Amino acid sequence: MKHITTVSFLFLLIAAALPANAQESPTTVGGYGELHYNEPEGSAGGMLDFHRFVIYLNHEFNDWISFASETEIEHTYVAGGDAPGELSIEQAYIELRPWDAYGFRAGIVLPPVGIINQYHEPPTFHGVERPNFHKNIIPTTWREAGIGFFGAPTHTLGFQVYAVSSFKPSGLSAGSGLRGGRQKGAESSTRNMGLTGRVDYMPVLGLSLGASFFTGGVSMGNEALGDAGVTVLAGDVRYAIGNLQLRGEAALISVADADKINAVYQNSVADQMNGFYAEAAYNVLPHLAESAQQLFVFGRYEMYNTQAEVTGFEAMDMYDRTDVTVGLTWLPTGNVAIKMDYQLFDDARDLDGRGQFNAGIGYAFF
Amino acid sequence: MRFSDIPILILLLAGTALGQSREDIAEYAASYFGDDVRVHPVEITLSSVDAALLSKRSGARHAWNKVDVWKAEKGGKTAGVLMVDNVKGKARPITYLVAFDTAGVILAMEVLAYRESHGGEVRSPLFLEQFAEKSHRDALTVGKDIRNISGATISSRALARGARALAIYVQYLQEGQRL
Repeated sequence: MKHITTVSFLFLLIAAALPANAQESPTTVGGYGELHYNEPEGSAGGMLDFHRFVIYLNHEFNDWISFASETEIEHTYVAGGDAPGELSIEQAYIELRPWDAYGFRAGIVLPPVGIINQYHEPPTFHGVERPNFHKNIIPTTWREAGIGFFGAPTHTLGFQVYAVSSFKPSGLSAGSGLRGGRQKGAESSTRNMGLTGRVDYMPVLGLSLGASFFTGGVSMGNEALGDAGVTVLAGDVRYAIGNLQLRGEAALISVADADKINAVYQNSVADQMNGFYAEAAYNVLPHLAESAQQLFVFGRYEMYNTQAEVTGFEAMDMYDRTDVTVGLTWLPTGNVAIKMDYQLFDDARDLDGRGQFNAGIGYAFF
Repeated sequence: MRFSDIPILILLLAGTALGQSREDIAEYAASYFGDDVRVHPVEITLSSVDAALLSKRSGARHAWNKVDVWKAEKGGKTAGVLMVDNVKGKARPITYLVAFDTAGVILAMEVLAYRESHGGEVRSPLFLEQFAEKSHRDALTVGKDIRNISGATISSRALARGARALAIYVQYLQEGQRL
């Protein structure tokens, strides 16, 4: 009892010492979205899809406690049966920030692995579609329920570390890697928790380096799965100078006891998957006109293999993939992007690559 | 220490480590203008015509009336102006300070409070030093005369927008001899 009284007293004392919130409206809204047109080569016609519509809802409770969320409707609508849509919470967390540079988050968070899982607003990346590396290697948008600590020991060095739900073994697959294993914070099992983290470093202005990881068991208490687990190691680099932007990402995924997962679920999961992409973009507009708008010409080369090493069966060449994307990104204003590109998908089989034309418009506002 | 003490510890630390007070402004001023500088708050009342003119010049709406304006004086003479303001990042306000000389040229820019989840790199001198020696005559636009920080684009743009607004504001006040 005495202990409780002490706690309450301290709480009141501290609450009184905290400065009052000076903000006028502590609740803010924002969002992003993208309309896509995809036309595979040789097809009779393309497909128009309002792929993502996301609403941000944020609230500041006081100077150090806030809430942030992103709610997404994919493919415009959700109905029973065959509707392609998906309604989901992409992020929803409470942030406690007792110090200017350090704090805690709890809720549905984004494992901070790679670049695009964290920064996925359409005006922040080139190409109508997110890189396939971010679908089949890093399963963007990857979100899980969890709790974590983040901070910035210096202005140029930051870190994040979270304990989050791990993958469910039944969802791991030969072609899409970890993607189907995401639990998305929905009644997630805590039989296996994963640990994920990231370090960001900016050695000079314009250059950002990142290293990130995830590691967690996936056996979910099933003895037949042994020590099944997933480890992801990733590195990324972004550099911008003048009108030139460069970025690259690479990741290596190891699945422990993949043979046991395959014995139970027959899903041909590999022991190892890996991939990388490199991208260059150049803003040509300053050479054509005096304008604050931007028009980037870009090219991206991706290689990824979701069956890089397998045990007990033959790896399939169709999963050893190479994608080339070339296109344009026009930013008439910083937060609106009009995009157009051509993609060539190829794999290790002796077949001709498949081409696809894409166009899209995307926005973000805060 | 028992496990149950952790929340108390967190709360104790929480109470000691928040924000920056206005007294710090004198300290900031000393670092730009020298130790013998004195700072005085300046009350500026803007009419709706003033605000409309400012918004037209800057091409953006801004809460001009909410900018804290401080005059720096040395030996009885005006040495410059300091402004403290908030600009909205992705979800939360970023509190920043810009110091100007008597010609409206930026001497220095500081981030006083950063509350966003991502993008804290904008607090780095590597980024903020870019604003020095710029004024209302410059574009102060990310991608043009201000270099972006990857992963901190929203914060970079917000601070550039803020710096531009204040540069236009200070020029407006100086030309109207209201400082």
